Amino acid sequence: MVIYLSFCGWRVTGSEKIVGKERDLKSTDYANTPLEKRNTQKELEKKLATTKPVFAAKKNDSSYADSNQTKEQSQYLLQLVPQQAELLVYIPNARSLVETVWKLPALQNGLKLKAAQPTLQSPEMLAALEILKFQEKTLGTNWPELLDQLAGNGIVFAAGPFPENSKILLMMQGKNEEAVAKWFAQLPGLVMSEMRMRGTNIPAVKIAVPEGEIIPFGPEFVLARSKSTCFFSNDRKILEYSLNKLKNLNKSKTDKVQTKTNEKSSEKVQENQKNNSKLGQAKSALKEDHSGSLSGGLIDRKEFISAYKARSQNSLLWIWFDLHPLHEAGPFKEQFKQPRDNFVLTVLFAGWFDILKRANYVSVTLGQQKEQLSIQIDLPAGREGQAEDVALHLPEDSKMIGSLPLLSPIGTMFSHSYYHNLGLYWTKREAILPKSIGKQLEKADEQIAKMNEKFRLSKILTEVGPYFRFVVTAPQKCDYSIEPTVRIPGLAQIISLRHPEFGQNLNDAVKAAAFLVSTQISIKRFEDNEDGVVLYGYRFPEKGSFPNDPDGIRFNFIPTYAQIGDQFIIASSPNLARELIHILKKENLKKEKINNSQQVPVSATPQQASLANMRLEFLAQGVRANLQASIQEAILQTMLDAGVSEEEAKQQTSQLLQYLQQLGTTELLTNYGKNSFQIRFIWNWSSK
Amino acid sequence: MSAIHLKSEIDPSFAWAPYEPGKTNPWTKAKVGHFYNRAAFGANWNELQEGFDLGPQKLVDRFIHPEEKQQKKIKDFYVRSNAQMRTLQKLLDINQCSAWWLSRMRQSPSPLQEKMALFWHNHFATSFAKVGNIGYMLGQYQTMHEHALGDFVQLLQAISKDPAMLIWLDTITSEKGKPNENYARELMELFSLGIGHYTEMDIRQAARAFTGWRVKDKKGVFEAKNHDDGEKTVFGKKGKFQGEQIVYLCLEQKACAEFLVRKFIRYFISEDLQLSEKSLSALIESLANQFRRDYRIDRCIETILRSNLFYSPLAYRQRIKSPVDFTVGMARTLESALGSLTLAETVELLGQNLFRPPSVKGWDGGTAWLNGQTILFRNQFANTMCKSRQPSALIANSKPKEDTGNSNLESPNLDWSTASPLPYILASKYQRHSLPEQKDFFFQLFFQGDLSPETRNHIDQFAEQLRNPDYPAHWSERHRQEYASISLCYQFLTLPEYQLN
Repeated sequence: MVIYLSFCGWRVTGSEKIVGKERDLKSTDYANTPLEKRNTQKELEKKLATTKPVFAAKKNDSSYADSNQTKEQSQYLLQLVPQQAELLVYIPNARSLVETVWKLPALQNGLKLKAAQPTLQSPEMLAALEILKFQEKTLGTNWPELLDQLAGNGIVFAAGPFPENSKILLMMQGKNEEAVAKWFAQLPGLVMSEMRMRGTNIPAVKIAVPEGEIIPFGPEFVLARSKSTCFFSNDRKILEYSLNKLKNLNKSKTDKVQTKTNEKSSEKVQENQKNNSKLGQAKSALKEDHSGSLSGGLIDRKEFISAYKARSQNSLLWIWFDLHPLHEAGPFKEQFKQPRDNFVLTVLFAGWFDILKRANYVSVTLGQQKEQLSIQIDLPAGREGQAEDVALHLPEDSKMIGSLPLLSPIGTMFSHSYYHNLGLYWTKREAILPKSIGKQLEKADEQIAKMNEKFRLSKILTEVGPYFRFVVTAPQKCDYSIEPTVRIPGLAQIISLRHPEFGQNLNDAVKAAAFLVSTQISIKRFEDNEDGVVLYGYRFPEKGSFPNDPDGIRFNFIPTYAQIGDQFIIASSPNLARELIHILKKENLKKEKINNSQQVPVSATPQQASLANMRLEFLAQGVRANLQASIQEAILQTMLDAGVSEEEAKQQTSQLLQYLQQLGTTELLTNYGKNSFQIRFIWNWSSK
Repeated sequence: MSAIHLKSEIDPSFAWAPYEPGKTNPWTKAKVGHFYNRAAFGANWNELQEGFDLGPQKLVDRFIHPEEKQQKKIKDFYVRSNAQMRTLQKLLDINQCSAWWLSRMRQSPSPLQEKMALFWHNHFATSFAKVGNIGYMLGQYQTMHEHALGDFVQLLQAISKDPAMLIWLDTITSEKGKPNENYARELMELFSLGIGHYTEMDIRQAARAFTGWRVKDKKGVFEAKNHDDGEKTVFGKKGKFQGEQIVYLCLEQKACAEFLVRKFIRYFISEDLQLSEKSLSALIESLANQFRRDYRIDRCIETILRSNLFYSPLAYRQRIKSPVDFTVGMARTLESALGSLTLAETVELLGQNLFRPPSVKGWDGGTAWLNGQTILFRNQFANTMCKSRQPSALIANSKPKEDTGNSNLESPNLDWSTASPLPYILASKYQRHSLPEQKDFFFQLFFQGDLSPETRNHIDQFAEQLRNPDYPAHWSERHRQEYASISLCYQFLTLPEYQLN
């Protein structure tokens, strides 16, 4: 069932001949219809409009708009989940989700790639398509209408407890009871025959029960159906619980209808209308329909209800995960304490661990808006009550800039902007760091100070500003006469300074470090000027031996640094440094306005500063440029991986380059509210 | 495996005499298949037919003394393939190197050269795990490939200075006053003489001769300042020897040729030749005398491949297929275009990680290739191959075009809508459509018609079951036909006999 659902979205029609209002559905060779000749989505919809399904759909049934009836019906599924569930996946409208994904330009274009053909023609894919075609034929309805009939009122997957003895429950509710009944009747046979061909015999005997029918499937699994709702579980008790709940709900619904026809229930209607929140809708429906049989459901749990209430109306898919087990889990308990022993985790993830410790659930929402697909992860813990080490990753003032604009020099593949207050490692070392690390810091501070007071570690940590930016670009051309065997992407780190004068200290520190390095390998310092900004850098020797670098990797780099205003650039090549200088010069002008402005947006564009304390962006254009720089490698890799000729591999690689052009950007950001934390992943394929 | 329990006796002059087909010992397709399994990596249908038509001696000529046209094809192939080596280094992935070499084994118009390169890779076993540089590993492979069927003297000298070998056996740390014995020991024990033909003193003295070598600019270079130029005594001879002279001293030992011939016999004839010790020694000595004259590898191998012994029951199906033989052989026989990376991953699972032998002794081979786990993986690979789908064009054009070297290099514009499982498409290509026809086809293709009656009976029964199975209702007619082909082919490929070379 799960396999069927997951492959549903790949289906395009086969070659069905439509004769008048009847459909002549010959079984077609499943491998014979070329992808290019299969119907487009428009043609499919046109065909559907002219065909008469075997099961006549009710009015408006083919619409996948989230109607009130659909909402209420899909909420029924949520009411059937027992309270032990620790994971819930909810798809309000399967057709909406599948069609959204199916219509993605990236997917549609991806399916046309030559490199994708072996996957599309794989035995597993073809088997899934064959099953789907069979279902369309026997049920007399094409996808996506079929999806509506079988799961149009929602799909819910629940699991728990973790990590041991987990039970699973999968439910789906269709819009057409007859279609669901017919599909359910053929499902065991379908699965059994496939398993038999794989050498496994699973007995399945139908048992009629008052609620519907139950089919134990092998020693572990149980299937059940009640009217238009199907169930699948690895625990009979869980399944029977859900069946019972549904029976009670249906009974109460019938009673409710009876009551409504007998009495004028205007007070109840008014009461319902007053309850605008989804919480109100759910609770009031429960009140009316259950009259006391509320115990034992997930929907009774506070953390679930508040998460459900907060979810977006337009979510295509929603996941809820209970974090209580995580709080008890041994390995995580250690990481929640402060200061934690693992210093590296503090540096990288102090904020996230703090949130995980205080939040009692996490919810994930998938949504789409125009040319954007987004995944949003929400946790109900924020600035209020944060641990001390979170200040490493978060400005104290909630209105202060969280991250500076993302930088995108030419060929950028990856850009990162984040807040990290290095000064706190010194000023709050006792609270944040393990004792031993704190002592080491103090020792290092003393020792470095003996060499040169200017380079004192404590000074460096407290003078370096809290805003960092990092970029990775396609390989940059370095001005050496020798080509490296392997081309490495360009890298740059941009550090903010609390006081621009400190830039001179950093310059001196780099010089001193370079001097020490030059005692081991010969490097040559150079100085240059770019639009009034001085660049310094070091070149590696092209002649003579160089330890441990037979492939000339060093010829990818001419480490370069420069200061512009309160920004200190360290780049892998002068070209990259020059480009960043120009970008930052423009930015310096804009930043003054932002500093004075009252409004710093959260949902900033990448080119703006933001309240979000961490942002990163992947750019498909940069990946394309990187691939272009290593085109021969890509062609050879394709030849070896796909077993194709050189010419075919060139065609596939060329197609891939074109494909990458339209993938747009993906951005990830994290943001703190007073009592909330959000991670947002946004894929934007707009051509603008 | 045919049971030979008694240790036989054999006259060496008869054993090494060229095989001449006769009434009692005719030239058969089974012998063609045997030849291709040993001298190459298996044969496809066309090769079996052509080999049978050529006869034993002309078949060996094709491999060892190719005609001008064939030589050009070989040259063109290697020019194109070698051009990929520089790009291969940039991938920084030894698995890709493994895949690349496997693709050469599969596609090369000179498979015997690749087979011998594989032999030398196991003989001079050097692992990337320590060398850590893909360029050096590929360089060593090139050295072994170049001399694979050439002069063993040149090969051994070149290997002694090879950067990968210098790093692998720590010669780069060996210097005057602190000689490292690793290379000297392995040179004698594993590369030229074998145990019992040198003393510890020989090793210690030879180690001094190999001091002063370093790797610079991707080459082995000799630095006199680090070399111990004092007098050494090796094999009873005195002199201010350097590494090169030590190699010559080893080659002068009688044991050297015998040691290598013994290894050739294990590789091409049998890993456990069922001969009396006296017969075996005589056999080895006879061929070693020839080999010792000029250390020409090709002449020695040619003698073996032409010989009566090669086509005798002592050799026929007396080796277990190594993972490379198994995977590449199956791919060649089925004319598969399956990606070489999949082959590389499979040989790794089966215990033969190219460029990463387990130790300086290489892979043990023989029954060590087979255990419960590797047999399972072999069957899974067979399953993958049988189910893999590819466009008919890839198989339809599998007969090499003129002057191109290989079909897969010349098959653009693949139409995946024509894709079918490999066995189905192969059988269709050779006009075997019905199930009985396919059964006979696979029987000839994989075993050249040579299976025990019990095994044939088992296959017949299986094929009979396939005629009326309880197929799922939702399967199309085409799906059923393809399933039958896949199942039948899989049955053949998982027979115990298929594990034998």
